[in-house]
Amino acid sequence: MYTELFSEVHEVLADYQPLLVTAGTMYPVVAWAGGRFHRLVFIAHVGQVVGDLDMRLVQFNPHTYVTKVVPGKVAPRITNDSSRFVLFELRCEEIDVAHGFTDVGLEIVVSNTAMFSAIALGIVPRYAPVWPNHLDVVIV
Amino acid sequence: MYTELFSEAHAVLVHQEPVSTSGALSYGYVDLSNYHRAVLVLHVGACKGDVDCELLQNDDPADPTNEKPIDVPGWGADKEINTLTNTTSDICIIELRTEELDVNGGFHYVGVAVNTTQAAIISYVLYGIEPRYEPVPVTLIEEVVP
Repeated sequence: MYTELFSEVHEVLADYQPLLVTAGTMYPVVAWAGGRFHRLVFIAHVGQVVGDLDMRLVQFNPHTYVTKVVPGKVAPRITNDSSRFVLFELRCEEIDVAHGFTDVGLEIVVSNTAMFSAIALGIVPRYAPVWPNHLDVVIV
Repeated sequence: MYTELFSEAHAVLVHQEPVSTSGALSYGYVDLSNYHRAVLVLHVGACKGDVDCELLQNDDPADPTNEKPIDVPGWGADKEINTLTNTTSDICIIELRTEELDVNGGFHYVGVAVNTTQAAIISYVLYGIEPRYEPVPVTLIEEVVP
């Protein structure tokens, strides 16, 4: 809407600060998709990558500790590259909420090293303005 | 809007990949004439000294000598984040309404000036939002996974 601010309707649910990531599998941002937002966006900001970087979205059941992939939410592999910006769009009806999968996370697999940061945004909120808890400064 | 995708309404106008840097980052200018709003999201990792960030306006993207601060009338402050010091994992946002630019003077380009006094790991992205035309270009996005 024309008059509203970005920070009033886009909530930072989780963030992973810019960091040099070494080889392994990790879940830098995990967000609860259980009710306050109709849409989530996972923004992966990739710097210098040595080797391979694979990214995909996974869903998680916090009661049974079962994890499974979100169908179709896989990014192409990034190999020996830099300055890449990848967006995962997620409609919350795409996750298996009927079976308790209420959390969604970005899974990254690094074969060597990667400079990486990520943010999970909740958008189309049920209630606005959203909480600015994760923000350190908002200049209006 | 409920049915639109984030990437259809938020244009990545410029972004700085996560990088360890010290000193002033070089920058250019982007045209905001097709957007009513813009927002800068600055993501700061570990930094030992100070990090300053400011949005600047310009009327000629080829001539940096014309750039000037975005002085908000009646507000008395520029679009500036002052001195994050010895911090880690900070997210800072600068909201910009394009009517805050000196459009009568032809200033419809903006640049992102970031300066660090010591080593810091930072990244940022400048989004153009409330576009005149949708969907917006996705030129700077490597991949949109819808």
